[in-house]
Amino acid sequence: MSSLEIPATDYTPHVFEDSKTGVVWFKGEAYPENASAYFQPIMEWMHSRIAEARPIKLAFSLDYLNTSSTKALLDLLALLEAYHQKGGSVSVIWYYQADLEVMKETGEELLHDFSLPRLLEPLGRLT
Amino acid sequence: MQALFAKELSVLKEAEGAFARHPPPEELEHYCEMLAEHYRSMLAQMMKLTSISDATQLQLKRTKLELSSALSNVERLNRNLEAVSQEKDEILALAAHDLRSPLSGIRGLADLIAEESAPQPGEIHSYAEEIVNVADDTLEMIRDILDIYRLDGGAPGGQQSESIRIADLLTEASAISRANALRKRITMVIESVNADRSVLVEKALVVRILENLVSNALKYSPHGSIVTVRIDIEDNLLKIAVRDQGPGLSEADQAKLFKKFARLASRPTGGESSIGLGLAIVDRIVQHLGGRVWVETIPGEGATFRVELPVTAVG
Repeated sequence: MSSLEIPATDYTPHVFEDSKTGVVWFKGEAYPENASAYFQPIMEWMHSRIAEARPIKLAFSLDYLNTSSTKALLDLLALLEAYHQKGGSVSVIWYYQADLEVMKETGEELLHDFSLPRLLEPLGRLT
Repeated sequence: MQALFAKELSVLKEAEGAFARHPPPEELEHYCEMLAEHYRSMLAQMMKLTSISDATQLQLKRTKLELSSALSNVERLNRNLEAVSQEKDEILALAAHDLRSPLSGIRGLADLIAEESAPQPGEIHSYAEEIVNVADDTLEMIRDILDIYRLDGGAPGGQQSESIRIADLLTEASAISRANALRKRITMVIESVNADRSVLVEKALVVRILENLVSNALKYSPHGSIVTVRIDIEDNLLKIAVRDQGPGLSEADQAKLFKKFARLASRPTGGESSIGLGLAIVDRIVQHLGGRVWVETIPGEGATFRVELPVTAVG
């Protein structure tokens, strides 16, 4: 299967598969003009992963999501939820800037109705 | 937007097709129709809401990008301005420095002429004295320019702290511009409640503060008025106050008082020259010494310049 690589723009996030860990990253801000077109290759990639019954690990590190990408992301999570229900291995990490409480809430809200194993992790906190 | 809700739209279409092919029992028909209609209108609203909020969010994002690009433009401009300003300061300091030697030469020779011509006072003698006065004023300006340049560069000269009596500081203060005070018949009043005590200070810098505040007060005082200099020590603070009976300062003047080359509405009362560096120098020295300086004034009723410096009392 080909690896996933969508470069970032000012208006869309960098989406890529980390070849070492197999984690699919979403990094940046999401304001795509056409969310379904933007997410289409990602959805296709997920479908083929599911067809191969391979594990799926997602990591989100988003500073902003517009409304239509939120909808597209919910559809993606619903797809993964169905896979998970059938025994597929799925995990999600939602990173948020420690000072951006709203992005933590967005992560909680997005994952709320799903049973996917998830982790919400603050970034940029002084330890 | 249709594509984003493709799944929901096709569910609706399928359901409607199924209802058409297999009409539900009569008692449910109304509910099926109602459900489909509400689902359709809910979907339409959802698409509308999504596209409206997408557009708003995009506009915000664009504004944010424009703002950050404007900000970086301003920062670049600011850096350029700072570089230009520094270059200007350097040129000015260089010119001032180069002018000092020839001017000192002119002053020395004029002084010689004044001395030689003293036995027969006449035009030559008074011209020579005038040259000496003008050269003195100009040399003072040059000293100010070089000082402010050095102070802005952050190096006030690495002075050593030394012990000095308040009374000696007051003597220095009264000696400053004595000629100017006499010429304008200004009475200098010197006060202190603890003249006998001593403090540990960078003496040259404190004297410079006094010099500038006193000569400033004399410069803007009317003929025959009173200038009061008061130095006290209180709770490890050296408190200096220089009060004049001049025109006072408007609010606009107070705002730019301590800036370099400040052009104020007030004019010297005896034809003295001013390039607006004296108070800027005081401000920088006070900052260097960790103190504060401010002015209390009522327009028309004079001004009191106050300085507070943290010091160590030694007796």
